[in-house]
Amino acid sequence: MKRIPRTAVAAAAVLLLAGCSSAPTAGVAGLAGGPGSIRIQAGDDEIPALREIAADFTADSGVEVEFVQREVNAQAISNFISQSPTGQAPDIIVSPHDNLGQLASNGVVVPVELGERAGDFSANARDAVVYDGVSYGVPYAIENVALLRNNALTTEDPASFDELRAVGHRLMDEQGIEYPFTVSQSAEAGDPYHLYALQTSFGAEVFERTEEGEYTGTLTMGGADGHAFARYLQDLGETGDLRTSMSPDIAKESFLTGESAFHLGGPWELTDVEAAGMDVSVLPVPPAGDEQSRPFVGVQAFFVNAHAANPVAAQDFAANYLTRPEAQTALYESTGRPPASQVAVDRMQGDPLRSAYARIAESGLPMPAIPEMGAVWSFWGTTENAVVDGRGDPVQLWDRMIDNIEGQIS
Amino acid sequence: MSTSTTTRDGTAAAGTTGGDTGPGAPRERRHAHSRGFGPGFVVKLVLMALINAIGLFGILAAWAAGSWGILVFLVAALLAADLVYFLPARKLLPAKYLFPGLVFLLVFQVFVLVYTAATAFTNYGDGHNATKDAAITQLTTTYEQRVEGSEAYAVTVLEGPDGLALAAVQDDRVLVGAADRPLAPLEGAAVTDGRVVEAPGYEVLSYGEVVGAQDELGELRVPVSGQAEDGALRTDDGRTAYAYEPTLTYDEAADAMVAADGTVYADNGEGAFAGPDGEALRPGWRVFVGLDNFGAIFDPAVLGGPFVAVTLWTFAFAVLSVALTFFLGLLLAILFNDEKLRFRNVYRAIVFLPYAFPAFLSILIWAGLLNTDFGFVNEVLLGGTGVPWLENPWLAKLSLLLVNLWLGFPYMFLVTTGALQAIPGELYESAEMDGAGPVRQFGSITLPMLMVAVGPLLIASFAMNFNNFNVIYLLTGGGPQDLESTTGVGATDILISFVYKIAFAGGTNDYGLASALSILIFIMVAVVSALTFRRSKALEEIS
Repeated sequence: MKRIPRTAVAAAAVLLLAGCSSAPTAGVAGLAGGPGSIRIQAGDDEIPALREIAADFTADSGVEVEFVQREVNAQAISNFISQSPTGQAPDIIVSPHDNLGQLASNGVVVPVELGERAGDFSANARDAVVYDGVSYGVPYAIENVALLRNNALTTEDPASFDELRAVGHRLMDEQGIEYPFTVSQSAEAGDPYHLYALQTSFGAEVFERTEEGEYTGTLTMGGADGHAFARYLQDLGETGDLRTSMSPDIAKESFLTGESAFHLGGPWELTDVEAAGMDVSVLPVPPAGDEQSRPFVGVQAFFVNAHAANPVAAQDFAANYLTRPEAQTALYESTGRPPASQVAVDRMQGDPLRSAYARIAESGLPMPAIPEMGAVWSFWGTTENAVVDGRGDPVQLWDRMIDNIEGQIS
Repeated sequence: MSTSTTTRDGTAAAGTTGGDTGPGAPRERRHAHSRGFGPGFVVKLVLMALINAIGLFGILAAWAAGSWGILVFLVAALLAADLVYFLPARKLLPAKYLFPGLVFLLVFQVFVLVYTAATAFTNYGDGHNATKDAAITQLTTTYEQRVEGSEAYAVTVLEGPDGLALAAVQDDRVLVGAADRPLAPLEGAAVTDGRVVEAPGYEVLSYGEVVGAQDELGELRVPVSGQAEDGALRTDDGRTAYAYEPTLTYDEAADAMVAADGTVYADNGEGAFAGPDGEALRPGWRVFVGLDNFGAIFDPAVLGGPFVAVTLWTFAFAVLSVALTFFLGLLLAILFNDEKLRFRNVYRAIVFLPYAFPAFLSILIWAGLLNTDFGFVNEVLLGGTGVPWLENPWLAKLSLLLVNLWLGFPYMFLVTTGALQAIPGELYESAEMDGAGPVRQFGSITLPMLMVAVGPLLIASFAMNFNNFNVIYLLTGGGPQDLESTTGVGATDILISFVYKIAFAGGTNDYGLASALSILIFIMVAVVSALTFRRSKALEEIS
């Protein structure tokens, strides 16, 4: 016994243990037996609805659906882009449509043909998931900024933004509230998104649009229209009506505690408004210039990975299940976001606030998804902050911003 | 193995014969744990068996995934592990201790460094994300356009004699076609709910089989008719097909993409297909670009200007942070080191407090406190003035240093307190006898003695602050942004937050450039650390 070579014992033990590990090739090849499974990356509010939809899909096809719970942010999109070519990324991912340009230009998403179901969706939702003439995703929700009015403080419906400020100041005098209106801003980065409805009321749309509604890379927010908006911003800053230091928390809290009668915000704030038991109305943002004010419309959509492990099942789930009106309604119920499907909007009962948001969304403009937009945001925000804080002549600041952005784009 | 030195009777191996005075005995006893089947050997055997099992699993998995680099590394590491721990050679004894550390060093340090360095010489980033093959496939699919006015076909996927085929129902006729056969009527097929469920001469594939044949299905194009302009059917989901026509095809001979209107997009050598007017198709692919990334960093027209400014501020920030925290920490440590001070443990505990809060939380709270209009500092402490703490470039830098001081001085207080107590009291007594005053004592005894102990910690602190991303990102986000600059760089950006902006923020990912910058950061920190270590070695010799 003592003379048995220990090497032999060691080798035997190794082989025994190695044998215990099941063949890893089965996990990688995956699909040898049944139809396999697909993976969907989504946020925690979407997953309950997706489970319902997936149950039908699994019953029909035998394909299991797994979920990766993750909030969608720039980091998640970056990870998806770098993981997709390695085959490790989920088959379907939820993302706001303004990431589409980045996703498409990196070749990590494939077109999804909506077929006749396309007619169910609102025009803005359809346009939002088109990039370079190709339709990529299945939209499910539409979000935009509108005016929230605290009906306990006032029931006036101002026709212009100046009228709104006047009403706000009168309420400040009469009822001792703190602000004429509130809106989310950021002292570091600015917040052009929340102010875009005001900007478009001067006709200064950020990029040129083709007749089909697609954005081109030509900047159009310069010139006289842009200058008019810049001067208006300066005025808002000088009067103290708009402050760059008003962070999202402060803005929302002030509205919820009745320190402001008007609040520019999106449907994502409704949960808190409803929880506070407030009586509010959702109205379009009154124009500051001569034209209609058109907020940015953000569309939440599902995109299919170009390097999906199971592309047929993923396409099937996206094109034939997620597009169903029942699926769209389920997603609305679980996320509380106004649906992208017109059919689902029509089915909404007893939710006047979100219905109003969906109606206002029709007059909005999809956020540009073109990669050029990445160069716009930071200059746009910091310049608006500089104008509001009075750090220079508004027209000069605005012109320099246009120059900088154009320098970045070319 | 090791038979030549194995004991003759086995009792010596177990180390129980303490009285044995034979010449080989002490040596043998020392090696008792590694010979025979003692408990030590059994433990080693089990551990090594586990390591081998995990290693073999990794090797098989790498084989299945086709990751050859990982495969080679795992095979080499596993072989080395077995040799090191099972070969009896005495020369391998140090290796037994070094091997695990070495493997971790390779995986976590060397690999990361080499990978970063390799990326720095490529154009990896937005638009250059994957391989050329992937780009060609993606371009071909994306630029396939649905034939205008064409209808949707409810299709069934069939397996025919010559591969996959599609069957559709149109005007009550069953049409079947395959890759090289346009759709043609087929007699004798059975239809249920507008879908073909049986086709003579073909096998109807189940859903699972369709999914299994996904690669073939993805390439299948069934011509609608003999005319090319009618397009070819493609199905993405195995249920519905649409007629598509290619608008961009890959010409292998010319290594170029050719559009339907004859425009040729040739490989431009920079990882993309570009048309005659220079417009590049997206996506492109990853290529080696040599020193281009380093060139861009030093080119004044691209990043040169901000790079120099950011580097200077990074050094200033790191040095000042270390100096300020160290001297405040030292001052408090000396004060509270005085044994005549009552309640000094209470003071020590209070001074230690900032260190007990999570830094992430503290930084965010400071950002709120310093808010221009609503912050506590301006509203309450300064009575409603609007000092733009985080909006003015110089004030933002000052705020950053102060917040970092607040975060960092307790640590310095702790280490200097420890080091002060380690300085022998006799030194001060003899210094007093020699007539040295407190200042002289501090300069000639306290500081040099302290430096020996905390010098390396100061270097570590410098390296940490040099890359102190958290405080920058959470307090100012690198802002206020320079309105003149086209790069989006801010007044408080240090190199690492600058890298982050280039690599991830603003919607333009450029991993190649960010890797090049990271390598420069690595070199800077390494050089500064090496120089200071030499200096502190000199101090050590003094003492």
